[in-house]
Amino acid sequence: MSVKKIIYLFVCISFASTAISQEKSNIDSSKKKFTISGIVVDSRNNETLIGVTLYFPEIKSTTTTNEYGFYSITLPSGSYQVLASYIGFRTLSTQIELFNNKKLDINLNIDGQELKEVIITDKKYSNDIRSPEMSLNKLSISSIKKMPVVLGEVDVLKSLLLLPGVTNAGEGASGFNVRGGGADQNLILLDEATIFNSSHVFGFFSVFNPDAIKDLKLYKGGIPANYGGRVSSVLDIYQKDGSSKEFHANGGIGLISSRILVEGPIVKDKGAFLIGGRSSYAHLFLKLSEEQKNNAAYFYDLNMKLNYKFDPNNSVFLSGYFGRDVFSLNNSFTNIYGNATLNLRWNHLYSDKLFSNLSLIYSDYYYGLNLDFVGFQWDSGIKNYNIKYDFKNYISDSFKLNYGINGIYYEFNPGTIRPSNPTSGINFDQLDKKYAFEPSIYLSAEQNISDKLSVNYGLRYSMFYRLGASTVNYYADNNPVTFNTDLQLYEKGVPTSTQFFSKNKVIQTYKNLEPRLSLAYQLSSNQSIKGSYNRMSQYLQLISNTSSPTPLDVWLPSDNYIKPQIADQVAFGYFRNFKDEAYSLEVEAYYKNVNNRLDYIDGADLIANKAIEQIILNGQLRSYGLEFMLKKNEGRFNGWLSYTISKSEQRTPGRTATESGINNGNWYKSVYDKLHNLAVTTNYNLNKKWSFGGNFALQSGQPVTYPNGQYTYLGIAVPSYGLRNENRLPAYHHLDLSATLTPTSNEGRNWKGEWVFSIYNIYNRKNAASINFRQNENTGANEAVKTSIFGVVPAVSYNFKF
Amino acid sequence: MKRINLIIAFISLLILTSCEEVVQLDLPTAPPRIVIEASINWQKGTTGNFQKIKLTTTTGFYDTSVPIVSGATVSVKNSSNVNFNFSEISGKGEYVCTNFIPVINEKYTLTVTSNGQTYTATEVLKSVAPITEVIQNDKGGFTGNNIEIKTYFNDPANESNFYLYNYSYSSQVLQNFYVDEDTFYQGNRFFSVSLSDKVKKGDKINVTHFGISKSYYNYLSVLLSIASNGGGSPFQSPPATVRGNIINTTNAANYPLGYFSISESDKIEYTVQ
Repeated sequence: MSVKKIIYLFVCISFASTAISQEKSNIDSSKKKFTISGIVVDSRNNETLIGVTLYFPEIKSTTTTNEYGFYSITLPSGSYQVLASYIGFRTLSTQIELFNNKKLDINLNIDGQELKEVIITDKKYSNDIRSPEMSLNKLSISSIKKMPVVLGEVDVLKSLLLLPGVTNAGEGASGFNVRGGGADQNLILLDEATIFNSSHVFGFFSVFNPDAIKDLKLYKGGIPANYGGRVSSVLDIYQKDGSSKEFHANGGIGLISSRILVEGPIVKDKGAFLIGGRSSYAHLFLKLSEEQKNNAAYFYDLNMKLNYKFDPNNSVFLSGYFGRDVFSLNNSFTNIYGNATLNLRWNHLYSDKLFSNLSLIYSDYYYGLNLDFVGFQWDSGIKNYNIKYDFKNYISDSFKLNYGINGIYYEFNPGTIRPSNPTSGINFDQLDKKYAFEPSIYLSAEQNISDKLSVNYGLRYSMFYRLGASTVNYYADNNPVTFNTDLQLYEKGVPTSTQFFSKNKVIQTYKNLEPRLSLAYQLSSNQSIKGSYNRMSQYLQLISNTSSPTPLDVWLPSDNYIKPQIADQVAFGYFRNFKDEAYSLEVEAYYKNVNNRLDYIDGADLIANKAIEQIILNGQLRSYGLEFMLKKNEGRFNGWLSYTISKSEQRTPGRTATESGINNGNWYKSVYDKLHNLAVTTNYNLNKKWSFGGNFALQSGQPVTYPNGQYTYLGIAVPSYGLRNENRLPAYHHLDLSATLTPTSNEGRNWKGEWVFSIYNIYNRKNAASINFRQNENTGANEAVKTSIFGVVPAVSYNFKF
Repeated sequence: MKRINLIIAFISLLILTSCEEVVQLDLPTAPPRIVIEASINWQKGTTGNFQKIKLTTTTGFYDTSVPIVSGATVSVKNSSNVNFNFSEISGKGEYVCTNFIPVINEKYTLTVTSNGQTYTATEVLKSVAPITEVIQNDKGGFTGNNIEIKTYFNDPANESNFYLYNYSYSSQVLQNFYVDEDTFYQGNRFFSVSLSDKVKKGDKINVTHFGISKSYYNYLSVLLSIASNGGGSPFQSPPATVRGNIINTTNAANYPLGYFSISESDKIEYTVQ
């Protein structure tokens, strides 16, 4: 289908839907309709609030604020009560006379008992039951901050692991896996900019400074059409805007890192700035020891945001992030890597019904490695330039259209190799840089079809152009991987010819239509059933054959041989609120299939490989599972319990009958397979001074392959293996506790302090990160060695604000 | 660049400051499979007439002895059909030849017959660049306090070379092997390096460089990553059966393990100063 046709189709749909809503308004034309719109902010600092529910009891209509705090709803003329409610804030009730189009900006006051902030779901007038949104978890940063964590470092990503359907490869492993998918299949957005590596120190900590974060959403399924580019999930993280009322600072001092964040008005009530930094300082202690003084291991990050509101219809935002990890050992080894992002946004209201946002986004990931003792310097990275224009059209109280366009230009550097000193024996080499352009358009509608049935439906059309300058290899039968039938082995093919494509010349094109649908049917006021389907396509591939991403992993674009991953996911769910919404239950079942999941031939060398197509095969990944989540939303004792039973499998069959495929072409457990996954997180507010938190996690061990024998070769003992991932590491579990002390002396003074004491893994479970098989270095006898990362880890940190 | 992998794995282990613990696992044992260790090696300065091939089988992971295969017939012939017979040394699973004639770039074919199964493989004898010097650095290794030995050679220009390096230490039970290719130092003076952090003064170190074929390099890359301590980090790639170049012509499914390799090698003994 050509682009023109698609645009035409979209235009038609837009007209049709306008017509529908037009018709509807004709039916009850006895009353004229007017629009009420505005921004909802926190009264303390004018920070816009995302996802505030506005409820109009007379007409039983609701609307919610978007990611910029904007809302709009069109109602028949009349006088209405408006109830604005948001987690942790006092519900505001106001009366409006709607006889013309109205602007109503709302200031919400924080709940008197600040401790109530821990409540995670919207309560009262919650439209969770009504809304077709499913497979979506929202976490407030205040609840994340109360969870006990390893070494006292508040970690946005680790808190996700307590949600149903979310796991990772274990302690100290980077990334996370959603519904049996790979970590590379998660789209991680920080203020809309893509973050390619979300971890510091190989996965111990996440790159998100909790003080700079306002809100986060994790979409595990039913992904709306405005997101694309990854197949498993979307983690959408918003940075705070900064207070435009008063100057504030807050920060914390921990064992590993300390952080400080300053915010304040540029022009009071119109513009604000926010700047925050965080750095680890354990390496400073290294310097004290004579032996370690030349070694360093630290990370830091900087968050920045500026916003300015020109008038009620125009605001601009500039936000940025810069983070680096640095390791150096004795000047012989230096390793630096990290992300940088910059985003300029312009919010514009074309009318009180048409909200728009234009974003110009740059993000990059850099990886550098210097091995001075081999004279080897390595740099790799990815840069992308993104332009995005999104519209939200609030057509009526029961119909809303979202549409937009997006174009991303990528520049990949798979590796630059340089001699690191004049005496080095290393030659300069540049692996072919790769370029690509990924434009897309989408249109989606949120519609309340009846009092009981509401639906979100949309379509995303994504395109991908692999561009020059680049040299493309061609192979006999177009097959870069050959199969040696005698040895039953996959081998690298030998190019028969090559072709050079000049700059910006299109090498390969992919186009995909991605339908998205989710619907909710309300069984009663407190329960509903929901269903969703989404198709996602992913044009970037992480070249990695490890169980969790490493900083060195290289991203590459789809090309003639690497096909885009295409995922289809269906999910069904049952949602219920109990006891006046004090409790809620979510049950979801899902099935996901991903085609063109890369698999690697045995012995594939992924680093500095100039022809990656010669070692990859296209496989398939499927996963299915059942998730439960029971939450207690209010009271002094609150929290949730989540349990997931699931399977995640992979297979790479032979391309012809004579080929063996990987693992004989059979399905095998992917490394993300976790049969059972149980997590409990609780919080208990004893009094104004003390609150306590507890987490418990229990998971099936990660699938691994144990040897089924050994043999001797060249005088060394070699373990021999059977089929892939037939075994599992021992079950993984830990219990963590924390206590937060808010001194009563805080009251009535500017400086507010807070102590957080935590114990991670309280019963000192030595969870296996891996089991290796090797020869004992003294006896030469074979042994199995379990590596575990954290035992019991106590920690204390001090947080302050003024 | 296997070495980078190794280093990354090493660094990660260092940084994880992880704790290790030997665990006893209940591991199944697969039915035995024949292992053919046919590593023909022509050391520089020798005639290369004496060669040895070992036949063993797989066994349980925790077993302390490796079963041998006796009663097999083993021979290698060159491209002019000159046959070199390997005769069994009783009770050791070793088959020896005393009149082998190695020729650089000559193609050889191995034939092994055992228990009614015939196994064959072919390989070309690869040359190796001579070792030029050994340099000791007392402030080497990752901590800067280890004794590090670098063994230099001049990589031949205008051809792809693959190397197998072996370091064995008089004071250590385990020896180190690793493989390398000249992609990044084509035609330059380069080196192999001792990977042990326990080298001490007075140790005798035997360093051997082997010239190997690309396919043997691929085979060893996988084999050594499975056997060495470098594997098993969180960055481990999935272990798999490592298939060599030997085919069972009687029944292809009943494939042997091991490899038929034929290399020139250069060896130096170095006493740590």
